[in-house]
Amino acid sequence: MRFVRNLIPLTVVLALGLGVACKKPAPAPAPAPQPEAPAPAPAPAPAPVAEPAPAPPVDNSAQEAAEMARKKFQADAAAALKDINFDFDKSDIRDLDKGKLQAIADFLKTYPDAKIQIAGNCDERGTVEYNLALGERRAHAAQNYLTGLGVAEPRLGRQELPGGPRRHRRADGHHQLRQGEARGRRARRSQLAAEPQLPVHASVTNASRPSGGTRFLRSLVP
Amino acid sequence: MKRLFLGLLLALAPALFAQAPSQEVVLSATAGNKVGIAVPPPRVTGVDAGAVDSEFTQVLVRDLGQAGPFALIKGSLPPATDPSTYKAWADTGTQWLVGAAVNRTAPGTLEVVVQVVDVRAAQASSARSSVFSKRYTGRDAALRRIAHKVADDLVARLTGEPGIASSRVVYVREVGKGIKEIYQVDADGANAFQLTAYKSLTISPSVAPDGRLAYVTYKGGAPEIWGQRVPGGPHVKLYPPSGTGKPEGHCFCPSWSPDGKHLALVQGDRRGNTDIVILDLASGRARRLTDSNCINTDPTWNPAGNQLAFTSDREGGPQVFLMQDDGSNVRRLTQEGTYNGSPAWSPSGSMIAYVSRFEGKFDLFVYKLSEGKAYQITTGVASSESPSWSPDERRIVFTSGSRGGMELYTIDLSGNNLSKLVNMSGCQSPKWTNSR
Repeated sequence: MRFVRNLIPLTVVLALGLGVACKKPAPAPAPAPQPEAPAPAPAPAPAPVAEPAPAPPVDNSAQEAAEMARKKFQADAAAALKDINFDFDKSDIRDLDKGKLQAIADFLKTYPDAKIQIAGNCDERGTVEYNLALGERRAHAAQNYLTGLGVAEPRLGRQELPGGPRRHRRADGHHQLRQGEARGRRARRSQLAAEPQLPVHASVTNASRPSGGTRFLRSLVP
Repeated sequence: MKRLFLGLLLALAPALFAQAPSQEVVLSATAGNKVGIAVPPPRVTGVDAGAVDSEFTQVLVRDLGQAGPFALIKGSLPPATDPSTYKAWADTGTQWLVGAAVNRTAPGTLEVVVQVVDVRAAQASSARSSVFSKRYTGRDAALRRIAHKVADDLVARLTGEPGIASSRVVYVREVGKGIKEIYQVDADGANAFQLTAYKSLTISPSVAPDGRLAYVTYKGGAPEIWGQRVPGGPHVKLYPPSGTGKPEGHCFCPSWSPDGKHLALVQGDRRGNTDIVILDLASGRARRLTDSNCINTDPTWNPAGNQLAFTSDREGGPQVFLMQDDGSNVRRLTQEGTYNGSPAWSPSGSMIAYVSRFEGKFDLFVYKLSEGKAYQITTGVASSESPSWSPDERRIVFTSGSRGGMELYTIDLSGNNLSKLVNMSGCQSPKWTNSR
């Protein structure tokens, strides 16, 4: 659940992306998952480096192995760390998301040093305050489900600050997942992001809501 | 259950009214009872006349027109204000004639002398015709604030209750991606300025009667409640306590008690459920009021300080509930609709404003406790949220708009006279306060 509205900090860090505005998880800059691999440096661009003529030949095999390991880590992360959706106003893990959570747990077992961050989100069809709490509860639901699958708690971080794409990139291997709202609002959200400001609140009319009845339309002031 | 609830309300109603201040006399005045008031251009010496007009006269005229007990007299007015013109003024419908003089007293400072004459009483006998006389001083930049003070003093002179022209609205504004700060603006939409500068997410402001702020900020990573212990004092962390006693979940929604000594707030647990907690500022001790396997959030106090309204989904979807300040006597307020929240208790204690969702969009409602009935206030095309009462209970400030474009508006209780407060989008959680 990501708040489509700019308000509320969906920040409930749980970043299990919930559908709606979910973006693809950002690739994690990866520390090597295998202890025996050398610590990887960020891959330099393959620009030619000027070297003194009598330089001895450089053995790149260790660096290549590290590079391939990092790429595999990123690929596995991208495959496993999918957004999870929740039903409208709910925080229960849906049956069809349990497979995704299992895949995340398997990913974390494959890479024992990796950690993930979870962010809970809601869409704009809720009040500011209730959405904060609902996002929190969704994040906890995902977190608790994963610990139930055997993932150790310290590996499940909560994103404390509300998500924006740039905050997903962390240098220490944390991989950000985002939670969003179910019901296929993805396309609608991207359209809204580009929308100009909508017309302001119209003046009060006397149209009654179909199922609200006329009882609501009493005037409070004589 | 409903009968029990209504019975409870009827039993409580006398108690509620007994504690309400006696505001009913003039605030419910109809047009026939309003006092006609006119503000001819002031006499000005040594001060720029244009500035006086825009920063004093127009401000005072607007404040008096908004105040309620006055009917502003406009149109073609007599050119002078000496006693020989009183009959002409009375013929326009004017009862109170506001005579003002703005004079330079020293470089950078000025005085405003206000004398109000009851022109109808003056015709009967000139003895009791002066109803108000006061001198105000300040720097040039204070002209606007002086105009608000004059309006408030005139309302107080007429009704016995202070006006709200000097009041302000504290709110949240998104200033950048992922950055929200607390702002304030005058009740007439002027002088908007930023109160916090944490460059983080800072939300959910609450203002104590003496003006102290409290809010939630994520500047330290996890959300914390920061605010002031002393009026005008520095902002410090109020909750959660540091050290090993730290709770496991996040905290939200601080709300000052009417005596300013307690903060109701929301504390989450390790399962993601949230409870209402009351923090005693002096001792630092927190007392939990709810203990449910659900979300309880959004606490708001009644003016007597012995009850709270809050939002809870303990029965399924979010609804507004009431309880005593010790957590007892929890009862559900909202009976219609599948999603009700954001309660705001009115200054007299007789009404609770809230929002109700229908087809994905919110509208403002007001629940009248004595009647046990809900009244719909807005029915626009946009979503309306986060109501907060004006201190004189005649208007409600709220946010309206759609994703990314929420703005601040005020509306009266009939649902008419919608007015945009300030030209700023990305606003939320306004709180209207009489404190400065």
